[in-house]
Amino acid sequence: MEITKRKLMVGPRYLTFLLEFEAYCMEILRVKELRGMSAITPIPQTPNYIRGVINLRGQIIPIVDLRLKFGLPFREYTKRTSIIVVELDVEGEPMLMGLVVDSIQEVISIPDDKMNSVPYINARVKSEFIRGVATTDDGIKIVLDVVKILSSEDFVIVQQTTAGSTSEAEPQGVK
Amino acid sequence: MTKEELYAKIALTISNYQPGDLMGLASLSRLVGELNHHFAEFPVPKRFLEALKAFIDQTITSRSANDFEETVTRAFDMFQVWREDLEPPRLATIETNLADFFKKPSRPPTNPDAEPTNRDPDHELVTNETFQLFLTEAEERYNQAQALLLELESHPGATETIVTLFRIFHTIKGECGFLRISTLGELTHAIETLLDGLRSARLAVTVEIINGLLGSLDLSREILALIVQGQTEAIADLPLEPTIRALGKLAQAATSTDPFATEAMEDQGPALANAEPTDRPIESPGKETAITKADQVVKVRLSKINFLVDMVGELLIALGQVGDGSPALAQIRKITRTIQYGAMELRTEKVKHLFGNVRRLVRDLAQKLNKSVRVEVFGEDLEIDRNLIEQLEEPLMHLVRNSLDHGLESQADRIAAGKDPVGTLTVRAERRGNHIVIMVGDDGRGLDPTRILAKAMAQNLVTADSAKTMSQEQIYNLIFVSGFSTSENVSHISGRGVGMDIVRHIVQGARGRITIRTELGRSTQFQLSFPLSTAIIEGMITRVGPSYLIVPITSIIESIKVDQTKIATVNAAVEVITLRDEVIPLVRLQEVFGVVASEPPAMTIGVIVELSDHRKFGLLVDEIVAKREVVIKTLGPKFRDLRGISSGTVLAGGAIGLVLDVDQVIELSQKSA
Repeated sequence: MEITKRKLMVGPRYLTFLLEFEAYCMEILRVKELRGMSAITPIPQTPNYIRGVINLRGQIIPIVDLRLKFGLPFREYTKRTSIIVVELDVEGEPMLMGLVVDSIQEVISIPDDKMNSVPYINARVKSEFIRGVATTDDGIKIVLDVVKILSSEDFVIVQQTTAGSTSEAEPQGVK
Repeated sequence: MTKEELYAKIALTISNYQPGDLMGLASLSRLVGELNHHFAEFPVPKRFLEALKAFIDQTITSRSANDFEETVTRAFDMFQVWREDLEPPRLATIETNLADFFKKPSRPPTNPDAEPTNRDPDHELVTNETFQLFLTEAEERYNQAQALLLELESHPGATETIVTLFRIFHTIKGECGFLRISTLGELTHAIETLLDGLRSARLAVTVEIINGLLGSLDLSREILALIVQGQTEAIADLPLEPTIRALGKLAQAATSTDPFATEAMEDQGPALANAEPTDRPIESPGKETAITKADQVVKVRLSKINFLVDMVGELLIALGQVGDGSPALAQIRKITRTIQYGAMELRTEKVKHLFGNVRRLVRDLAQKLNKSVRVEVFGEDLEIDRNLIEQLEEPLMHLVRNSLDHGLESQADRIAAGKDPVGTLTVRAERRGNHIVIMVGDDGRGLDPTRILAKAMAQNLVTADSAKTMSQEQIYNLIFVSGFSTSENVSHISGRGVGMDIVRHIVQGARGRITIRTELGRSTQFQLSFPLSTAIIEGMITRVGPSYLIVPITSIIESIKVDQTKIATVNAAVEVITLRDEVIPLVRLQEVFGVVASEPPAMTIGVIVELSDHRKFGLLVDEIVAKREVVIKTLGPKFRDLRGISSGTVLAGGAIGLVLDVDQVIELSQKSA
């Protein structure tokens, strides 16, 4: 509700961040917290973009590396690497998750008329993950649909086995 | 002021508004009024702004509406989209939205007699506090009614039972009227009428009447469930009319002078040949009131209790972070643990309701399958955690269904085998030390290991080689493997082969174990055992590479330190050690979890664990850190499919440890060749 208070006629607010020098943004309503990097505990049997879990004041939340999710090469975490903690509805219950991004920029307002839908932006990010593209004073920013990105996640690689026989599925190594 | 200046001022006033700020409201009202002047020519926006001003003024006088800010912001946003030069279709849409905006009353109408035609009274109730109370009490009453109906069936002459039943439904009918739940009210009225016929002895208790009443009870529960979920439209799809009609017909049937009636009383149908065994005491109301006077019962919201339990859990975590030291700390820990148990006791409920459903299921199924079954229940007064009861319902019912369908033979078969023609299903709940044990057993045909093995091999669940070395116990446990089923014709009651595997899955999900005891031709018993405190477990914290893996104490037999040279290799693949004449296979957790070894282990350290099927394995780790009580933290629904890891926990220092499920860990280890 903090956001609605400051809301003048200018439009909904978005958080912008960088991934490989490209600017993306997401609706700020879902953002609960911004953190620097902290120790991540890896979880086996997960795809590479699920880095593991962290301890958020006693609560264990999963961490998704957006670079890896979008197929970018992994980059070592620096001082600027940040975690955006978002809240999603999973099976009717609110759940927290963290997204790793290269750096966080700022919060901007994008009025609805500055938001355009684009049929094709780049092959890197699937079009269903993109809500649109916004023209701002700072240039063009790609607006992501974070809910879609995280909801379509299969966090665990389920081993396929034929009954009785041994299969060669390897458990995920520590990343 | 110009329109634009007014917009800016209004927006500013809204954003500065704090609840109770009457000055702000007053100036807002004034500004909106002024804005209205600019729209004198345009009827729709004009009316909208008038409605908005009226809304603001109302808030000034009644000082309520906690969603005021949201409503006004939304209204204002919507309004600003309006522009006279828009395309007609777009303009029309916006104007319709504006016109409708204030039509939805945010508060109930001030005139209590006004019955708005388009409002569904059933739908309004869900948020009502009174309704919540009604709901909880209705649930209890229906449970009680069900138990009473079953009792009535075996003791048709019990007039007090009929009177109590009548009173229950009479009360519910009254509450339906008060809360204006018309659908349930009508149904309950029909039930009450039928019960009245029984009460006045105009009607006699027959199987049809009991069936009718039980069926309408189920329907009542369904209606309530739909109302709670807010799906009141779905009620129209329920067979409300036919059920009410059927009840009406039953109510009009024979009087007590009808010869059929007396026959019906004696012949209870094939379902229950005998009355309930006398070792189960029938409820006497006098006894209950005595107990209530000594220890008052209070109604508390479950959410409050859950909150308390969670907070105490957090307290324990925080204490765990402080690290060992003073005896005072140990004392604090001990006290906190006691509080934790106390808090969890708050959340307990008797298993009586759960077992009541078992009786109902047996009755219905026995009728359907044309078998003769009696139910023996022990320990229904045992109190266990509500959450556990909820989780247990499905597996318990499935085991019961299984017993009735496959375990118990038909009357003819039983007589031929020299058994009592009436089969017995036993359900027992008891507390053994730190565990809750629930037992479901029957005196049916027992499990046949030969058939099980044959079926398993036919389904390719087991190879001929491994079959030779399987113990009886391991063979019995095959029934829990997904895809297994020994019935030739898969009945629609059970036997699709999915049920047993889900039963074990749920039991293990609650950190429990399920064991089988059976005697061919004589009996089968399933024993489900659960640790008492599900949120806190005692575990051995081990380190494997950089990861902390925790093995639940309940699975550990002992810890070991072995010389590398003592490890033998069998079949060129499996490492084993010999411990006191027992050969135990070893599993290196480093390999199972794909941890990169940073240093080769000097000594081999590990723990010997025992699986649910009593097989023993040695788990090798890099270091055994400590034995500690840890608070279980779920990793979340997204990680539910993880194999080998059941949950997480926060260790001293803030690191996250992963709690192992040893059965699954072994499963995993056997997948990597």
